Amino acid sequence: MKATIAPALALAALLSFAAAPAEAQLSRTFVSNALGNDANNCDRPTPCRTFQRAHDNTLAGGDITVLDPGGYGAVTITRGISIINDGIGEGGVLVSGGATGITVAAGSSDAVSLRGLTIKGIGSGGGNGIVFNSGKSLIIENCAVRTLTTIPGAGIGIFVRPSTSATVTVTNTLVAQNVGVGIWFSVATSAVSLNGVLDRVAVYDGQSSGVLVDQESGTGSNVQVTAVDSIAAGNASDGFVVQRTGGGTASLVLTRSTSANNTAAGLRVIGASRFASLTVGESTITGNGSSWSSSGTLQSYGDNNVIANSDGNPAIPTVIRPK
Amino acid sequence: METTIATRTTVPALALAALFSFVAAPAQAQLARTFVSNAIGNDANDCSRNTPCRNFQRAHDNTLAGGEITVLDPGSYGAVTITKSISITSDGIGEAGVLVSGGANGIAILAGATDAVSLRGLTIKGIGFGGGNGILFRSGKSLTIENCAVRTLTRTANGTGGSGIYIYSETSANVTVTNTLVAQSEGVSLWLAAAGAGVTVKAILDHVAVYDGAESGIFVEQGSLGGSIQVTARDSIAAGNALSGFLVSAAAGDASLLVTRSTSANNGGAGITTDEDGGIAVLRVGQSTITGNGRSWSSFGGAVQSYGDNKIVGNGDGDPAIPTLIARK
Repeated sequence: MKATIAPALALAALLSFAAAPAEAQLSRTFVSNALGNDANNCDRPTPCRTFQRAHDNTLAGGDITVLDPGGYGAVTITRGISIINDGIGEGGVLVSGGATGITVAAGSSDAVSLRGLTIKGIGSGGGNGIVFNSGKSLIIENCAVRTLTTIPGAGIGIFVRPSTSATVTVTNTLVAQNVGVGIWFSVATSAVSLNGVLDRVAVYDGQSSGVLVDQESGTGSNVQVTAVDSIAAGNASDGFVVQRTGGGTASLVLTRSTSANNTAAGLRVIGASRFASLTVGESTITGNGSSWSSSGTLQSYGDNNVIANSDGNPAIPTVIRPK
Repeated sequence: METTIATRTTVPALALAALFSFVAAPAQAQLARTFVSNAIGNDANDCSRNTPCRNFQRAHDNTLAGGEITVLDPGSYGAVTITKSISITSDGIGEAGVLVSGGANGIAILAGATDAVSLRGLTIKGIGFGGGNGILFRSGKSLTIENCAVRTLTRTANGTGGSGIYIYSETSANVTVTNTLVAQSEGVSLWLAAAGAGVTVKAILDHVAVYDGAESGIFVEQGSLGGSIQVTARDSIAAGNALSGFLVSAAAGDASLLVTRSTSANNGGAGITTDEDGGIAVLRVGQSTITGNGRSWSSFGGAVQSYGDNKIVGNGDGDPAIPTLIARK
């Protein structure tokens, strides 16, 4: 008799826990700066105030919908989820105190999407904009990441450095005026493949390099990025950089893109030629301190506009043919 | 004589009166423009601006053929089956969402053979729980999908569904997808086919991005029932998919795809590929970038043809040239 009562009590306790409104996770949650409250359950009539509270109350695979313009606070994403703002006004996150605006630390099979968000550093101790630590795929659309300020190792607009093999896509997105690297693709450990795509991405006016494809950690790890219709301009170091200092490969294919007005090289490749490569076609390289610099493989389709750089615009010696 | 006249005039008058009373009933009065609101909508309403409805389906049912559904505010508007000419439009008012689960479809179009359907600014998302497709087109004259995002569709336990956009038309139709993302699907991300002999489907993909699916990205397939599917893709991307980026296959009839100014990158299989087993499959590619794929291109029957101006580099097969070149004019 006693043996049956105890499980019954436990079951009752469990049921009352599950039924508590504050704990019921939803497929779709809502955030509102105007009338949200994190004591709410984040449904449409009673939205939450911050991304983090909404994330915590959203089922894996679910969606957070932004209801009105405002600031929604930093968030750490630990599951497959999307945060969507479709033209309702600025869906903002302010970053300071060495923190990160949006951290993705999801499971190795999780798909994460961010759409229509504005992340802005406000000084006061620095921080990074978007950091991807783990997950299966991340898609960043229609976002803007601005004025991240530095403490050592920070100030980066978008910092992709996963410990899981992953694909990361950035599309129709601005990254501007950051103290650190604008967009940094890397890997955190051995035997990890990172595939990146940049489509209509603009990286402006940073105090470091614009786009850095950096295999700097682990053996057998590969970082492979394709950029199309993108631009790196006005950065205080290089425009596009491929760097291989770890035990894997780093590559960038750059098409129909622009590298302009960067203080150092428009294009730079660092590392042994077998392991570090940059291929460029139909692109414009102009107004940079130097047009290009390479200790690895730099190859051109011979159809780029390389002009008005301070080094006299030497031809890229390796030309490959289209097929 | 008088009797005859009376009879002739009375019956139509009664019928007309009955028709008017039907049309005039508040719950039944179809409108040229209806409105949906997650904030204040109620499906007991008539879907007018002052008393919007809650769901797309209720608004659809209360919209005149040729009419329009306007989204008023961000939120979730439920699955809808479209059976007439109509447009559903969200123009920057915030996320206009449809969640998909239980093997259902987010938006199913089963319209008449002369009907024109438009979808603009919608976000369709699979949330697991039994799979489903995002947008399914079975019949109609034309469909345009603009500014939409279709994400994370999952398959059912027996492996069906999971496509972001699935065009499988039983009527000859034109289909346009523009400025639209299809991502993270478990099934084929964007799948286009005609459903049988005598059916011709022509499709345009413009600024379409298909990312990170667990199957092929863009699949132009003419199945064993025959028919013709003809697709032009420009300024589009298929990347990070587990199988092929762009795939054309014909078991009967014909399937063709022209890829220009587009990118196929980081797919596990071939960047572009054809498969032919009884039909005619052709894939033509120009001014495009094929990089980072398991293989650059492959052909298991059918024809892969190049304009000779593609950037094919950094694929796992050493980037062989496409042997069949076609001249630019």
